[in-house]
Amino acid sequence: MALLDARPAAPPTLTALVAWLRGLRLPLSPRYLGGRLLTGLVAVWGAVTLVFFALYSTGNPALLLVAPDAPPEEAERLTRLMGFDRPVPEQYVTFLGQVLRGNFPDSIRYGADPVPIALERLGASLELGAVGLTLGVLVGGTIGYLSATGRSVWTRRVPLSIAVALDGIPTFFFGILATLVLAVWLGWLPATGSTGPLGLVLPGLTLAVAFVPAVARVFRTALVDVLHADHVRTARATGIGRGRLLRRHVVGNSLGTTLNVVGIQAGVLLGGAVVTESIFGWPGIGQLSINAVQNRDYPLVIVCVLVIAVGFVLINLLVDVLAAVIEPRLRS
Amino acid sequence: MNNPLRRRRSLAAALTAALAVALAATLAACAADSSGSPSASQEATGPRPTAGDQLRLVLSRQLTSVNPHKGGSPDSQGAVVGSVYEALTAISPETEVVPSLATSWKQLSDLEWSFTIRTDAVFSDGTPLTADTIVWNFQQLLDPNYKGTSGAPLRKFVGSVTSPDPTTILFHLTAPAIDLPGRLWNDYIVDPTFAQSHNIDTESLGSGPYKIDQLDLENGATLSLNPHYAGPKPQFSSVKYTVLASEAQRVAAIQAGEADIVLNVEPLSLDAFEDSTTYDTILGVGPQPLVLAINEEKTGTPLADVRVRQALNYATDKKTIIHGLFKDAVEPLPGQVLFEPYQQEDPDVKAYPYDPKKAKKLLTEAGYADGFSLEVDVPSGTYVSADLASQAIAAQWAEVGVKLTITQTPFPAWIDRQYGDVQKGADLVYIMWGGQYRDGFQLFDPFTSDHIQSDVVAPTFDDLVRRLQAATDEKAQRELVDEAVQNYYDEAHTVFLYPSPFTAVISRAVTWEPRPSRYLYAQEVGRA
Repeated sequence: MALLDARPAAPPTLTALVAWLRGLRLPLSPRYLGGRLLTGLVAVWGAVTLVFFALYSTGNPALLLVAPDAPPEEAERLTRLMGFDRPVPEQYVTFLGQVLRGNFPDSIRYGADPVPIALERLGASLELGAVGLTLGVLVGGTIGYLSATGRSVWTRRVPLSIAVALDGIPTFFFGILATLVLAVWLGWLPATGSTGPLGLVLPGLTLAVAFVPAVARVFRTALVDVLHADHVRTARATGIGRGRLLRRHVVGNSLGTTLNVVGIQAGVLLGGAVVTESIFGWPGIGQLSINAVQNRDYPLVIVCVLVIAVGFVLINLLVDVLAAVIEPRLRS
Repeated sequence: MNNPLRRRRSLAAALTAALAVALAATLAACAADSSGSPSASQEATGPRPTAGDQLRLVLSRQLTSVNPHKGGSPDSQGAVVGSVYEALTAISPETEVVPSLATSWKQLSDLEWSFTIRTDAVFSDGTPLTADTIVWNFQQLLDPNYKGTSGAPLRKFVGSVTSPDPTTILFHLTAPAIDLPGRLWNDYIVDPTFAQSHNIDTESLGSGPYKIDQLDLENGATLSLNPHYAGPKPQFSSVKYTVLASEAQRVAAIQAGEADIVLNVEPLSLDAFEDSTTYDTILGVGPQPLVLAINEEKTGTPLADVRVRQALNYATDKKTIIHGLFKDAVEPLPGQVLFEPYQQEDPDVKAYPYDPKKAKKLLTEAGYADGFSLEVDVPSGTYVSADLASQAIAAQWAEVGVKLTITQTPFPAWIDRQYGDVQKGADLVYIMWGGQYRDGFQLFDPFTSDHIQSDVVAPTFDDLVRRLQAATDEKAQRELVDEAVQNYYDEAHTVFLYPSPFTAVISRAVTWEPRPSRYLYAQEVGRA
C-alpha cells in the first residue's frame, strides 16, 4: 500500500486536523531541526575555515596589486598595508572576530563589504539554477520514467542511452557546442551576456544537461525497485489498471530517493554552476567566486563560500524535510 | 611615425575564386608595401554593414576595478578607465606621448619639470578640473600610505607636485627622469570631493569623453557620453564593454556578429574570418617583447655562467615557433628589447641565430657537456600561445642536452613566485614586458637587477640605465642606449624571443586606428 495513501486526505474535524498536522510535523520537530541546523552550522564553519587557511597559506593578494614598474619595496609596503604580513593564525582570529561582529573585511577588488556583493549575485544564480534544475528534473524524470516503464525496448533504452552519453560531455564543451549551434549557426539566441529571457536559454540548457543523467538514472532505479515491491504486486493482483497503478502506487513511492538527488544537485547549483556562469558571462555567485579566486580577492572568496555553504545546508535541510513529508519511512 | 598595424579585409565569398585570389594577392602586396608589416591582407567587397546605436567592444580579462589610481591592464579596465578619465599626457596609437590635460611641457632643470594645463576640463557632473585638483591627485599618489598603486613608480623619482598658478603644474624630482611626460599617461585625475566620499574602485567621476552608467567588474561596463567633455564628441553615444575571457567566447561573439572590435584572438583563429564580409582582421607586431627572464641569483645555478646563457639563446629556434604559431607575423627580437617599428634598434646588434652546434660547444666549454635541468614558469591563459611556445623551446633545448621542465600556473601564482624567495623561484620565466610609448627608456627598467620582478645580476647594465635617465643630451642618450643594448646582448641576461603578435577582428561598420598597446578606448572608434 502506498504510504501517501496512509495520510488522511482532509481534516474533517479539529481533532482530525491536529492529528494530521502532527503527522506532518514529525520531521519538523525542534529537536530534529535543531540537530540539523547545528550540524549545518558546523559544516559552514568548517568550510569557511578550510578555505581561509587554504587561501591565506598559499599566496599574498597584495602582490597582484603591485604596479609592474614599482620599486622593490612596494610589494612589502602593500603587504603590510593590507595586513597580509601577519601570521595566518593571527589573521584567522582577527577574521573570526570581524565575522562575529558582522563586519567582514572589505573585498580587495570592490573596496567594499563583500556580503552585499555576493548576495546581489545570488538572485541570478538562483534564477539560472531554477531554470536548469526544472528543465533537468522534467527531462531527466521523463527519461527515467520511460526507461523504467516503457513498453518497447526503444522507449526503455534509447532515451536513457542518450542521457548517459550526455553525462560524458563536459559542461564547458556542451556550452560551447550549444553556443555554436544555437547562437552562431542558427542565430536564434545571443552568444554573449545575459540579455533578457533569451539570454537564459543557453546557460539554462547547459546546466540542465548536467542534471538529466543523474535524475534519469536515480528515478529509473527507484521506479524499478518499487515496481518489484510487494505492495505493487498486491495492487496489481487486484486488477488495477496500469496507469493508475503507476500513478498511485509507484511514482509517489519512488520520489524520496530522487528528491534527495535533486536536493544535492540544487545545493551544488549554488556554487557549482561556476563553469556555466563563466562560459555565458552569467552574473551569478559562481562566476563571482571563481573570478575572486583568480584575483586573490580572499575576503570575497570567503563570503562566497559562506553564502554557498549556508545555501547548501538550507537546501539539504529543506529536501530532508520534504522527503520525510513525502515518505514517512524516512522520518525514522 | 606610421601606425605599424593595418587592417586587412577578408574576401567576399560571392566573388569568383580566381578574382578573389588575384585581388587578395594584389591587396596583400599593397598592404605589405604600405605598412612594412609582415602580415598579409585581404579585402572584402559587398555591402558594408552599418553600426548600431551602441558600440560593442570586447575585453579579454575581468575588470579589477575602475579606480583611476590603480592602473589597469589594457585587456581589462585600462580601456574603460582611459575612456572615462584624463591624465596630464596620453599615448597616441603611434605610441607617441601627446598632450591631454597638459597642453605642453618643458624640463626646467634636471630635477624640475613644468606642465601647462588646459582650463576647459570639466568632470561629468559639471565640476571644473583645476590645477589644485591635479596637485591633490598627485599628493595622494605620492603618499606612501595611499592604497592607490599607480603612484608607486612615481615615488622613485618625484618628490612633490605643486601649482604656482592656475595653468601650471610643477614636478619637483628627487632623481632625473628624462621621460617623465611619458610616465604620467595613466595617472588619471579624479575629483577630490568625489574620491573622498565615494568608493572609486566601483564608482567613477572623470573628465574624459564618457561616463560609466553600469558597471559589472566580472562582465563589463556600459558607458554614455560625458555631456561636459571639452574635447571632440565621440561618434558613439553609447558603448558596451563586454568581458569575454576565453578564446572560444571571443570567436563565438564575432561569429554571431555581437561585437564590433575584438582584440587578443589567437593568430591561428583569424583563419575563421578569412571569408567574412562583415569583419576585417589584423595580424601584426605588438610593441611588447617576449623573453625568457633568467634567474641568475639562485645559488649554484648554471645560468650564472654567461656561456650557458648565450648557449640557450643559440639553442632557441625563434623562427620556427613564429612560423608555426604566429603565422610569421613577427620577427625574432634583434638581440635586444628595442625593435622596429616601435623603437630605434641598435643596428650593430642582431638576433642570436639558431645554432645548436654552437650552443652545445658553449655548454661544453662551460662544463655542462652532459647537460642539466632547468624549470620555466609559464602563466596560463595570459600570453598568446605561451604553452605551445614553451613546449617547442623545451624540445629545442633537449637537442643540446638541456632538460626544460614547464611549470604552468595561473597568473596570481605565477606572479607570487616571482616576488617570492629567489632560491625557490623558477630558473626562467616566460614573460612579456610592455613599453607603452616610443623612446621610453622605461622599457629597460624590467631588465635591470633592482626591478621588482628581476633576478638578474647586471651591474654594468644597471649603471648604464641610471646614467641614461640622467642624460639630457640626445647624442649622449643614444650612445648610452647602444652601449646598454650591446652589454645586455653580450651578457645574454635574457633569452630573447620575439615581439608579441597583435591581433584584432574589427567590424567593417566601424573605423579604428589600431592601437598596438591594446588599449581599446571607445572615443577612438568611429562609424565607417
